[in-house]
Amino acid sequence: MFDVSKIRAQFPILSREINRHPLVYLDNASTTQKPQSVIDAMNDFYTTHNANIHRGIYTLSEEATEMYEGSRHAVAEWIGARSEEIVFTKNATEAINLFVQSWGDTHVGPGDEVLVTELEHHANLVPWQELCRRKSAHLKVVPIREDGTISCKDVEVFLTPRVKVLAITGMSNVLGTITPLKEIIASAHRNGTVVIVDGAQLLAHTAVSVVSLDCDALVFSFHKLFGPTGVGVLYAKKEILAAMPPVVYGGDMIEVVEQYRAHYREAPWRFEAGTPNISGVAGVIPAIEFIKKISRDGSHEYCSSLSAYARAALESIDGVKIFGPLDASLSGPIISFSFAGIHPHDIATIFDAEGIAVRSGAHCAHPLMRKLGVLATTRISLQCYNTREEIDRVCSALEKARVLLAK
Amino acid sequence: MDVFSEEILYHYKHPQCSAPLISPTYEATGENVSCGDMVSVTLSCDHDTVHDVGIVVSGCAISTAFGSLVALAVKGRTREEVLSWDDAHILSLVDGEVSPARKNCAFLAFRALRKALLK
Ligand SMILES: Cc1ncc(COP(=O)(O)O)c(C=O)c1O
Repeated sequence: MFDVSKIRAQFPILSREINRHPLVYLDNASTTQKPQSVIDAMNDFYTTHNANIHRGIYTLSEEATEMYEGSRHAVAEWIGARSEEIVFTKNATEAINLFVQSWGDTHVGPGDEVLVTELEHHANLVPWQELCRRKSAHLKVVPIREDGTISCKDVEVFLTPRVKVLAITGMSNVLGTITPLKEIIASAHRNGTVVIVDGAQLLAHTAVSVVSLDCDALVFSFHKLFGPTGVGVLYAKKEILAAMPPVVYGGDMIEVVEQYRAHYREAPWRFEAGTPNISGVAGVIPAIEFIKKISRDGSHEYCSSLSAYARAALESIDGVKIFGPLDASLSGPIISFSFAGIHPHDIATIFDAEGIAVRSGAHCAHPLMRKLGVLATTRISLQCYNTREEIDRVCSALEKARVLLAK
Repeated sequence: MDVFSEEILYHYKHPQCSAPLISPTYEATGENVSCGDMVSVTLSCDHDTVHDVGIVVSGCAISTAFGSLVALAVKGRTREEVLSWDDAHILSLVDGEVSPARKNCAFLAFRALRKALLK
């Protein structure tokens, strides 16, 4: 059974007061809060196991290495991959950049096309812009429909033989839009196009299996998944990783080093030069365990129903305009809106005075904002520890904003 | 609630000198790229003294209010005087604090004004 009070009790930060009000944290698409188990694991690493990995022939280093490689294994198992297909990075952004600089630079050439969608976060747009500039390739963009969705047909229109790669989000961080990945990936593959999925938002709300999706690569960040900051993942199919040259060179990624040249380890280690975020990776297993547990207890259904409640509550307020899919089943619990001509930053400031944390701004998606015809929106993004009472507090804070600022 | 002072609210709802000048001596635009807020500044000067100003802000309460406050503050001042102002001086145009996350909003109009005067 899903018991929100039991979940909340695991997050120490949720008992904080902000400006003399209990904290209402609704910026989960930026980063989630951390359960005690994740905090304890990182603390425990530094307190009892700290050493560098893959180096020392002594107990501590062996423990650290075991923990690090065990975490890689847990990530692989969680998304249905093999351990050697999991590269640890600093975040999703770095994972995309790694893929672009390694796979992209060796597989995309002059006149080729790279396909993205209008929903993309800057992290899944700007690296591709740069690649296309370097390689004299063309960047093509699949537009969204009026309601912020993208269908498989919309993508197919762009699938010419020149399209080498499609980079697409699984869930928009602005509108919550869920893309029909499985269908799109199958279609792209029939066209011989490689697909990399930005799973930064998707994995927080859906169980993902790379086997069933059949994506060629997938990126995400653990800090959006109840884990620590500084740990991201690039998953790529074994044969894809095998054809990727390293892009960062140095210690730990080498097999043999002669004075004038070196031989590199195989994937994934060849992509992890230097000392990684070991203490952060210590938080990965508890984060995955937490997600597995709450999913079994019905967290996804809980978040969907909370999201439907939030949408209905916001829509009933005069002056609120919600952007994105009207059909809640096409979207995750991420809601962007405008209100009564009041600037989103002013709404966020008024909310903060009430202890409510929301994101206001362009959400690292300037082209999408332009398409929506706004400079910024206010966004609430929900997680398993949020409640209906918190949504009600948002609604009364909006009424305060109206009284104070509506002209 | 003291998020926005009475003074800020007044200037937000009734921005002063907020019509653009027809034939300005100096002009400039500015933008806060992080939020997209925009300002356009027009100034007319006589022997280096600002005698009229128009500051048009398309933005939040803080940037709009500070556009108005800055406009009133520069009228009758010399170019040199205005250029000698620093950020602290701008923040001191109102009583009370501007939170760190909102300081850029407060500086939007002033930055464009400096740019205009330095042209
Ligand atoms: C859809 C999407 N992609 C990529 C990212 C980048 O994640 P990170 O900042 O952890 O690299 C984000 C984070 O906001 C996101 O929402």
